[in-house]
Amino acid sequence: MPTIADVATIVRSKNAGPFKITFDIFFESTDAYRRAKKRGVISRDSVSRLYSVPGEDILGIYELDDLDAIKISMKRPLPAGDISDTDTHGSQQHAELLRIEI
Amino acid sequence: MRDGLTVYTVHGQLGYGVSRKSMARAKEDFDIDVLAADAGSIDSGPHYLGTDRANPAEKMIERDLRIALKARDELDVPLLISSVGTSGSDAQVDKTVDLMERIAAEEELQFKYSYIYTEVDGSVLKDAVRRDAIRELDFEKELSTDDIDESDKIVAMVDEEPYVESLENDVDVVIGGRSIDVAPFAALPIKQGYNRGLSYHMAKIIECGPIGADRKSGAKSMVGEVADDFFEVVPPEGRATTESVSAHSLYEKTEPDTIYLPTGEVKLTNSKYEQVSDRRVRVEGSEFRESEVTTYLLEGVRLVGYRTISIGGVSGPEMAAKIDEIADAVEEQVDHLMKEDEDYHINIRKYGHDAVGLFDTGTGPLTCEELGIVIDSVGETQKIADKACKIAKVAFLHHEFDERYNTSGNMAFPFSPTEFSVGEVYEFSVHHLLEATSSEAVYELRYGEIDRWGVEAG
Repeated sequence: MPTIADVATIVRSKNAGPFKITFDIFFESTDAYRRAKKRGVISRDSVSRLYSVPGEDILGIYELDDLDAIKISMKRPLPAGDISDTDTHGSQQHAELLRIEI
Repeated sequence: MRDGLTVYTVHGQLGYGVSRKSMARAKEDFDIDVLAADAGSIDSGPHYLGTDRANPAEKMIERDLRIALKARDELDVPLLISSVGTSGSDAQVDKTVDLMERIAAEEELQFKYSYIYTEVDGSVLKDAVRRDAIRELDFEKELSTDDIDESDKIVAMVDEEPYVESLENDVDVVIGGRSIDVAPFAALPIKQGYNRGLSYHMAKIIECGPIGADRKSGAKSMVGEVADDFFEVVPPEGRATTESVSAHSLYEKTEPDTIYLPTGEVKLTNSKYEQVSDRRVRVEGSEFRESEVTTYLLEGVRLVGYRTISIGGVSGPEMAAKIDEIADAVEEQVDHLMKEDEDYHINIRKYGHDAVGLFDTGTGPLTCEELGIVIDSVGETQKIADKACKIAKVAFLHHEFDERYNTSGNMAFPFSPTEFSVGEVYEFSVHHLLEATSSEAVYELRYGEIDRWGVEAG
């Protein structure tokens, strides 16, 4: 079964300030984007399960028709720079998204 | 209708290598009205504000500043730089002003300058807490007076106001402390009365330099041209596309259609992007909505300890299979040997297993035989951190376990010495919004002048 990795050109994560993290998925075609939208593969529910976070930690999921892109914003489990931080820029947290089946 | 105003982005992050070629191209192809650069970022974490250290190498900062000052002199336009020295701390403002003066003397440049201090005293914030003028952002807790007392340094992110004031006083160079990243780019357009929504949105796109351009087109910097009803962006080389520009509006932002600013917000809901040439994008429809109160974002840090690390590798399936057990045993051993009153925290980071993920997503079965291990120790003092790290390293090296074959030692160290004192560790202690009654509370603007006979303080 195809995954996001097969139909996306950019899948990235980055801090939005020290307490939040934002993910952007840019699909390779409007078709792929619409299919993902229709099947609801990226939802508050699915993201919550995928990243093991409570629903209320998810700030928003945005569908951007003009860009064939989906944005996910959520709370960082630890603030950037916390002594147990694993990724101070938040830029390598995208792998889970690549594996989503579509 | 006015001619329009051209802003040139010297570099997306001053100190990371201004492209001389791109600048030469820009000087030739455009009628530049102002040179701007953002030199700071919170990306790098709390360490830089805490230690007053800049992220880029000093020689690189000097190189870039020299190129910018010479270009400014040649074009006779203002040069505005924000968040100097990464954190925009007062010490970095002073350091940058000193550097600027030295370069000016060496290059025989003359100009008027201003500099902006943005550190805020704890007493100002406590006063704000008392009158309920502090707001927390999403997911953050309320600011307490303890947080303020424990903070080593707090800066306010100022907007274009002190930059505009400087320009109104005929200043040629502005060295800014911590500022919103659009400040130096939007200052001249706003001073000249251009639409704020367009000015801020344009600034937001060009402040990152070439990142708003098509990443494969070879762009090295960026130009923004603002007119009465629209703005356009185009890199001196390479091209901007409607995709690259609108995609960039998503970068590092939690919401796709709003830019938050101290004095209001810019809504991008009705923004329209048009490819007006194969390299140039026109944007219109971005709207600024002024808010009743001006709110400044505050960034503050507190020292939480000192760090020591040890780096090594393990090779062999029997090691990898038992790595969690080994790490647990190491932590126990450290706990056993450290004294009751020695405050420390130990973290065995296992690269190749579960070291990168921020989220608790669980890991699959270990498939690699080689792992990278970082023993991360943070202590109340450097000595305590060193001690905990050394104990951990020895414990790791000699841990006995059932499937162990190699009794010589469990770790491959690449270096001698085997541990390194990293130094001070800071955390963000303040990241809140301050509702300001007057801007004097958050910044201090000073002037100076450089003439042929040396520096005269203003």
